[in-house]
Amino acid sequence: MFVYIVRRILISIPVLLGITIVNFLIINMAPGSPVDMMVDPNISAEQLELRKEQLGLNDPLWMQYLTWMGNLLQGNLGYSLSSFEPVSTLIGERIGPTVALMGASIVVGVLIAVPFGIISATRQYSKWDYLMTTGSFLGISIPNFFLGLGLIYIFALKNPWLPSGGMTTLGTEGGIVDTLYHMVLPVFVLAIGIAGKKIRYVRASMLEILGQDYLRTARAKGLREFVVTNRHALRNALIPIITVVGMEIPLLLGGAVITEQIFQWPGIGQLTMQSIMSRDYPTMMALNLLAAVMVLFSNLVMDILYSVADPRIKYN
Amino acid sequence: MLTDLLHIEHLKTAFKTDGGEVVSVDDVGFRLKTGETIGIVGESGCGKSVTSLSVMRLLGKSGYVKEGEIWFNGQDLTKFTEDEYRRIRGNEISMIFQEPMTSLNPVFTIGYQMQEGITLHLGLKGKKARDYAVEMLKKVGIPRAESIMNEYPHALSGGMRQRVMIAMALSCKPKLLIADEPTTALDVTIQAQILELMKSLRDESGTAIMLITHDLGVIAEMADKVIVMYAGQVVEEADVFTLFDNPRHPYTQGLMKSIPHVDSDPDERLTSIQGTVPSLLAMPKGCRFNNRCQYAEERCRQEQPLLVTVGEGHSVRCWLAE
Amino acid sequence: MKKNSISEQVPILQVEQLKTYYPIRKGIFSRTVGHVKAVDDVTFSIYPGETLGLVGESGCGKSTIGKTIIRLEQPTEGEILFDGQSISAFSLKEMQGIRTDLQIIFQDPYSSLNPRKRVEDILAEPLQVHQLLPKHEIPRQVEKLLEKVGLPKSYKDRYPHEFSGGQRQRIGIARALSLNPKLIICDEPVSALDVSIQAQILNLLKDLQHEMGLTYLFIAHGLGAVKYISDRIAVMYLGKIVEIAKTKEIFEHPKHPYTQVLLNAYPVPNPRLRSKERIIVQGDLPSPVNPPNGCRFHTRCPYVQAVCREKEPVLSSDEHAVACHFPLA
Repeated sequence: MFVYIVRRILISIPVLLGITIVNFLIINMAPGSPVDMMVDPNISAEQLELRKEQLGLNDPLWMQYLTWMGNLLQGNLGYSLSSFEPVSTLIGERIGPTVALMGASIVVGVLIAVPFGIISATRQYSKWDYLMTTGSFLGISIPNFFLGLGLIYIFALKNPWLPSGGMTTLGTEGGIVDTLYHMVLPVFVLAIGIAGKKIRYVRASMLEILGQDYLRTARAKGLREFVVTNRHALRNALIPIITVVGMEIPLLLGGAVITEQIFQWPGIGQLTMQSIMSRDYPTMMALNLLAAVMVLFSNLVMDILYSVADPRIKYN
Repeated sequence: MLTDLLHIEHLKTAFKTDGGEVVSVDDVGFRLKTGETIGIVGESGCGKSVTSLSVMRLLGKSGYVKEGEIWFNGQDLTKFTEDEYRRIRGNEISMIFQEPMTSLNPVFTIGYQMQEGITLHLGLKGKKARDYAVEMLKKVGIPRAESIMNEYPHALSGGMRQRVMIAMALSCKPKLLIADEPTTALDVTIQAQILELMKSLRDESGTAIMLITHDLGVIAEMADKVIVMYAGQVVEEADVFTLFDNPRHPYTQGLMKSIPHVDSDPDERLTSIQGTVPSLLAMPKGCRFNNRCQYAEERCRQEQPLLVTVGEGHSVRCWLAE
Repeated sequence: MKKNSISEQVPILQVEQLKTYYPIRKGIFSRTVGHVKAVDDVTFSIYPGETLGLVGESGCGKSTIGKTIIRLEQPTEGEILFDGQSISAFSLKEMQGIRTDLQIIFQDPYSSLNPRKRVEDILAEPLQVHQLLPKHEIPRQVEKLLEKVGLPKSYKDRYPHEFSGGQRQRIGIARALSLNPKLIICDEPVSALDVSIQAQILNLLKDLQHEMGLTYLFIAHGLGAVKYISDRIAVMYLGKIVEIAKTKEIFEHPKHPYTQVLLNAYPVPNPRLRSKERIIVQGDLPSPVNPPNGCRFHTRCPYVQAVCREKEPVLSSDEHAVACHFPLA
């Protein structure tokens, strides 16, 4: 297993290298430059040119890339071109809130999806099943921003039960309880989307497993239907679910952009938006690298979890 | 004289389908004593498996016993609640299935799956349950029983898995073992091993066996008495010697002549039964076998024959047998 | 059609030292770390008009031989001579050319027919591809084929799902017959069918053989069916032929202990014989990845001697060939 993990990590190095090159090219092809975005339109062309020269933006692309890569290898992600803070600091500040939001959303989403999916599958074609599948359909089709705005309207504007955005109540110290309080709406929005998709997967997976011979064996032993479903069937049904939940992790980075924007959540999503708006190349590069690492990492974790969940799979 | 351990009377089992109710077992009955083995033989769709699943009440969501009584050990199982049923499943009545490759749960160890029933019905826990399970595995001839406990099913061959299934089924010392095509999926040399094992365990424990198979060879090897099923009904019932010496139903006769076996003369042409088994949704009027029977008369096409006694313990459902 | 002395004839199919290995790949670069030796050095011949039965338990390689002959599998080594020409190195295109003479019937009549095609299209397709008949004669030929396999002509407009297993197998046979082949490989043609239907199909195959002078390679695990249809039988164990002889000889005087064990393992449909002394081999089939040294059956053989563990016996070349150091009398 250890050898397998090492090998997987080694394989991912050229992949990451390729991703950074492609990203670098795409970012630089986009019209506009950081300098255009940050200055007063009245400033003279000479001064602009000088600023570009100072930032190294006039160097050939390959040299810019190599400089960036050289810094990266020394653990330096560069400085933001808009706030002039180190990119690592920017990301460091933002990653916590995003991970909290992502983690909570996935957990809540799965916690909704698994029981609902089981109910849906064990009572196939019943009232409950139709209710669950309709609910899941709604969860998938309602856009995050729409649901988010709707919830803010109902729960923050009309009835001031929950905060409309941010991570801490202004003018207070914050604290865990306050943060959790602020997380309710954004987590709910993200979790509904996740649950909507996962209910279908859990249902389909359960339906397939419910027809298996070994469940008849389990029933023939005299086990309760509850044990048959939730131990014997579920363990098997969850194996394919691991993949689809894992695929959610990198997607959430993207999905959270809009949700974080709506709820003014001080996370990676917001930072991404800001850096794109201001053509902040170093920050964009770092965020893209982070997304790529997340994808590769979550794939690896999924594969490892797979072998833990399914004894038939062995890596070597 | 021993009383009957299992006594099924006028069993009728049906399934709900989109096209309405389908009766797949119609008026099946037999008696089975402790230590006795009854063979139920027939082709696919004849209702032999459904009969056995009716006894276990494992018919799934759409199946149900519609009519009839299943007397087991002096109690009518059809009156049992689901809770009462669970207490005898895997305990007093246990079952092994056709496909050893898919009958064990792939994500739990052999030990876990063995101990589950032992803990549930015998109340043994922890090391005691484990020791008991190891003991059972040894009994069914599994080498390295201790380490097999920690293996997952995929690591075992088909024959070994079927041995595990047998160990699991026998661990609570059932009074009745239902074996649904237990060797059909196995290679012949392995089948011989498993049949031998079942025989010796039966002789040792006195467990009654309901053996479902399509293989008359397995029947001849194992059974004390036999019922032959066709299209959901019992068409002939007899002790094993009478059945093989003097089969009275044209279907039984056809079945025996149509099977090429190792001892038969290869130059002799096989007698085949023409046509195919009728669909449950479109049973022929009269005798259900009439459209394939070479002796069918007008009466067979009009009236359904009843199961009538033609000799001691020998009954036949045929107009011509009278 | 049957000839008594086989040695004077020219075989229609000769399989010489055939090996079919499946590589086992591992690691990032998918290095081949071993082989499943499905067929390991097998030699036999089939003569025109005869049926050679090929029997053995699962994993013995009997189906792989059939598939290798029609090149659904690639031979690793060895030679296959069909009608005098070596076909083991044929390209797929060249194989197309001899497909008219060489056909196969599969085990599973449910999955080997295209569910979206009518019977008529299924049967007409090979005729169209090989252009053996003028177009306007094809429908008549399809009807003839259906009649030949005992199905009413009117069935040509139906789809495969409208048939029972036995009827589908008849369609599979009709398809194989459509090009007037010389040799048909029957890969477990009755194993998936109900017992009362098996007899119908076996009788049909036998009748067709008499009528059309067909040659069969009949692969099966059920000895009963093989005995009924075969003139000679080859018994396989772990990728090797251990015994090959006339059907009667195999059944009455088996020389290889495995053949004896196999014959013995079948439960006889006669309850009065149930107490007969049976030789039951212990243990499972060894893996074809690492077959045992020496004689491959030595791990389970009731008569095993020291030499059996060391030296691999070769198949003798007489009419009743056996690969055993101590053949049974």
